[in-house]
Amino acid sequence: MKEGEIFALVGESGCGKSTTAMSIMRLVPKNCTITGGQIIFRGKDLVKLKEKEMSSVRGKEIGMIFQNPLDSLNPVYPVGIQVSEAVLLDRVPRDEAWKKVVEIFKDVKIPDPAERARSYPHELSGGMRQRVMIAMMLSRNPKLLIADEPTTALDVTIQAQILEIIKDLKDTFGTSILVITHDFGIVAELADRVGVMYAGKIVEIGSVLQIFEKPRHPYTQLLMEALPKITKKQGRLKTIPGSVPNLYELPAGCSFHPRCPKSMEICSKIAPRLKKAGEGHFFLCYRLRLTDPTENTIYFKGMDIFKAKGRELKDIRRRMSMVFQDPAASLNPRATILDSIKRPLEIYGYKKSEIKAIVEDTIEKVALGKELLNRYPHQLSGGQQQRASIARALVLKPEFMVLDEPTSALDVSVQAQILNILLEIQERYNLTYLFITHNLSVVRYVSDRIGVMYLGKIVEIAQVDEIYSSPLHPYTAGLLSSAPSLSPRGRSRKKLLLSGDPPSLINPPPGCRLYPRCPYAEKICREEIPELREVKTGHFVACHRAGELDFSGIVRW
Amino acid sequence: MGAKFDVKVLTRNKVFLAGLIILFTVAVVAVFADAIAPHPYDEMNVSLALRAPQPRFPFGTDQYGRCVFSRVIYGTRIALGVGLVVVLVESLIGVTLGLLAGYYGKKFDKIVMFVTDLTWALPPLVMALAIVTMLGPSLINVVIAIAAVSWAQFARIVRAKTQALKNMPFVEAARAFGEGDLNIILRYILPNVLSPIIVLSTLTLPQAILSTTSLGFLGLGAQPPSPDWGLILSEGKNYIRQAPWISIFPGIALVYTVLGFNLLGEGLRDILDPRLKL
Amino acid sequence: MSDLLEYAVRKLIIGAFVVFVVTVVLFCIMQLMPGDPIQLISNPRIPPEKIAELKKHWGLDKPVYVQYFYWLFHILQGDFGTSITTGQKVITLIQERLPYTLLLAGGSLIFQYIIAIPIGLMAAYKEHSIFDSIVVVSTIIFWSIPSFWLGILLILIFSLKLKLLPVSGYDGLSSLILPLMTATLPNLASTLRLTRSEVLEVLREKYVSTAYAKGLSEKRVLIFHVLRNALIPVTLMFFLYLPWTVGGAVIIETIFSWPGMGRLLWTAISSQDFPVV
Repeated sequence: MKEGEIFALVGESGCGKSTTAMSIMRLVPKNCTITGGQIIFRGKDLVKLKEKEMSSVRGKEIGMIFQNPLDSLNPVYPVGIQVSEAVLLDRVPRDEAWKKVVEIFKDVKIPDPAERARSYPHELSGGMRQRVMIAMMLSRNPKLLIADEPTTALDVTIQAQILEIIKDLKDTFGTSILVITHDFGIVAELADRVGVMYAGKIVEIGSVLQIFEKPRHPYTQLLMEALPKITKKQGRLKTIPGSVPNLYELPAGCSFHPRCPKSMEICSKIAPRLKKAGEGHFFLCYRLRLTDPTENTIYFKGMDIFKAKGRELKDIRRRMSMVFQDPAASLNPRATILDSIKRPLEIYGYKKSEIKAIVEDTIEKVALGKELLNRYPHQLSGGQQQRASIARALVLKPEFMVLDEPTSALDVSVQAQILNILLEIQERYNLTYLFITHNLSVVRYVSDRIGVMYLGKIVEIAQVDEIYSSPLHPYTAGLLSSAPSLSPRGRSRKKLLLSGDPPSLINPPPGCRLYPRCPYAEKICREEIPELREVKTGHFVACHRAGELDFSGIVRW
Repeated sequence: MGAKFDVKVLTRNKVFLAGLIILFTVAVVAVFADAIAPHPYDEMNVSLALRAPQPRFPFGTDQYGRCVFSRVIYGTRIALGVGLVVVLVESLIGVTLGLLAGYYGKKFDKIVMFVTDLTWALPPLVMALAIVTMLGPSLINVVIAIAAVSWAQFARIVRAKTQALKNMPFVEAARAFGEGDLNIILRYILPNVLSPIIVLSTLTLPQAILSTTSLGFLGLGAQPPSPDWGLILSEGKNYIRQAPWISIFPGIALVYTVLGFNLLGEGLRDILDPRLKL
Repeated sequence: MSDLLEYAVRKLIIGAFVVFVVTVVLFCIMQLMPGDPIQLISNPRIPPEKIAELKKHWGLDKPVYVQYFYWLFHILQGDFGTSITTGQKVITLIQERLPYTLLLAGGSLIFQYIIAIPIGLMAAYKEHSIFDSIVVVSTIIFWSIPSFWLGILLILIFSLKLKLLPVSGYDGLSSLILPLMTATLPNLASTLRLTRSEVLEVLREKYVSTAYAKGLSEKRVLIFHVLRNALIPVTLMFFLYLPWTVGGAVIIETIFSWPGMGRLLWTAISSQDFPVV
């Protein structure tokens, strides 16, 4: 890495990105040891330093922020104390240390810094906590800041805020930043240079433009094609066959060769060397009546879901089905895959021979190998688990399927496989999908119509291209411009940043729920709840100022 | 969460293995007590009272001339038997109440939790003392007393696990395709609370044995001439100067057995559910 | 922190309720027990009229619930009643015995904490080391020794064989050592085990990595971040298990003829002296 640059280390989960970062800090878990190699930082080999010397490097020369900002702060001390603890290491007097804390809090744009410094971590929102982490690690002016998935646990609009802060820091403090992420959107948004990692090794290094526009390594090329693009509706996604290998059982030669379309004989024999070349969506789940509703009604084919009882309810449940976000948690850990898939059929009294035929037919559709049927969920990969979940949702031949973030727990290459399967099934059986997701690129790829939700209310509904080309609600516009663009050239676009954090669902603001964060809010927005009304044919918006506002300068896809 | 009942994993855990070996020897002694013990446990011979350990009486004799070795051997049956029955009874009550309270919640849960808190807040031994005094001293009453004060642990842990499980996607998925409540509890929740139940059972069993012998020691458990270890110890206490062997050997047997269960339980906990707190 | 306060208040309310229930239950139990205290202290030659008179004197001729409220009424006025067997005021009995129990229980608690916390911290910090293995195995062993047998064993070794310490009763500081050891060792094992497992859990937390990442020394991380957080559940558990300690006191005081509350309770139960109970 060069001084003052932002370097992104990108790769799929399990490829060793975080382990690399933890090794730089020498913070690997107790049951691991660094067996060899070098980590050179400003002429010193960090691997050879004594523990005492290392702790003077940590914080002072290299700082690190972690993925989940709630876990990263000690719950029993106020955040200011935790930051000043770092400042005090530089033998600063106590009162000055506190002043410095408040100052850094201002630098990372924490409102009421003196007040916030006295708060405990649980009193702050996720975005605020991540700012505190950044402040803590910057407090001793390190030369290098490592950010391990700094925005993964955060909302898209908050992610945009944090990315802005990180960019500013680089400019004002001249800190070099190593960003570790699986999200190519963040890479495109932030990085100067990129390293692509596969199975514990960097397979390609280049400037951000080179990586996105002229990738050289087949893996990078395939990844780029597997990514759904936010900018256009496209045909089928390219997929990468197979999944990331286990780091303990790496294939011989080039680790990628078993999945590589351009593999040659030499690839299986010799390991290559680097060469020079140039929100609020929980509420929809309640549609299946998994919990008791408080008010309102939902109709399915003329049946009131919340009032249905006995046979009618059973009928509804048979004709609707659901796929969940976390594939590992949506299968009974103590049941085999076969038992999980065939259970719905047993409940509705199918005969044994019928069950066998249906199960075989269904697993073929979702491309789930027959040999996996007798395994337990923990013996399957994430993608395989999700295919089993989809198979279970399909066996009863439903008419309507709710898909709650079905790919957000999966890697890019696996995500493409699952999305393609879902679209194929939908076309073949003429299914209706309700696809819940926070990923704007995935939405664009799979959907016909989109409903945008904020704090439990739909704020805008329209055809997919309509939403992306001419959104009418400020929240939609903010969301679209916050989303990383997946092209480094989109970085300079004008953005509509929504300020602040989404308020709690339990106690939403009166009037329009967006008004505290909306730059266009007027008096009426604070007082009256906007109705969802049809502004153009098929385009519904819930905003008092719909039609007056023009976002065309902000969103350009 | 995944099932790890793998023979290799089990035997690699040294603590578990040590517990297993100890308990195997205890079980053998209990089953073949008739063959191992040289004398009946209640055979008195006053002329041989308070003899020191010797080949004929490996652990010496007590104040009535009974063979302490034989009494300790037969005592194994009481310890194991009472322990197993107590754990069976208390886990049956605790697991059922825990599952129902955790799954249905609301009023029923509040009532169960209140009773659990109450039971938890009472000094168990004092409570058992009171129950035994009320029912009269006997082994069966000891079983009732101990089970009545210690089912709460099972209820508490099973309830907490059930509450977490019932909101897991795989349970919601089951409800979404029309699975009924009873089936959800039996097919989806119970199999997933099995490991804490197993661990808790192996760890409460030694507690039950200790409580039984404690009550026996206070004269409230098994009555003479039963070879209950607690009873032998309480009788031996009066002769501690002349015949310390009456006090030493049953104690060693007791510690050996309890240690076996504790090792087994700790090992199982490491393997099955390392984060389980008791 | 307010959660903790709420928790404490809830426990306190439950505690008060428990005391109430315990008194009711005990009252009923004492009533249901065969025989009555008057029969136990008197001999058969005393004429029945005299017994009836005595019963009337103690209020024993009234129905159970009347007796209960009568007793509760006096308690609330600070009158704890009089022992039926010895005729002493219950309050004086308690005043006599309480310091001894507090001495034993308090001493044992202090020792437990002083020894268990540093050892537990070190064992967890050096997980899987030889030191840790020794700690783990010895806690399981000590946990498996019942206190009454431990007491007997200690008497056997220190009093009878080595003749270093008195067997029983209270006679100066030296007689405190054995009961204290007996009361401390098994609880020490469980506190140690708990400290170790809590520290292990905290060590895996991300905020410990954060603490290292900002450049704090090993010692500062362990004490300021790890120990501080691990002690919360340890302290909570300690209060949760307090009732169990009371149970243990009965046995230990019986073995060492320690003049404390536990033994008072035990003799009172066996002689059905229920004002004392």
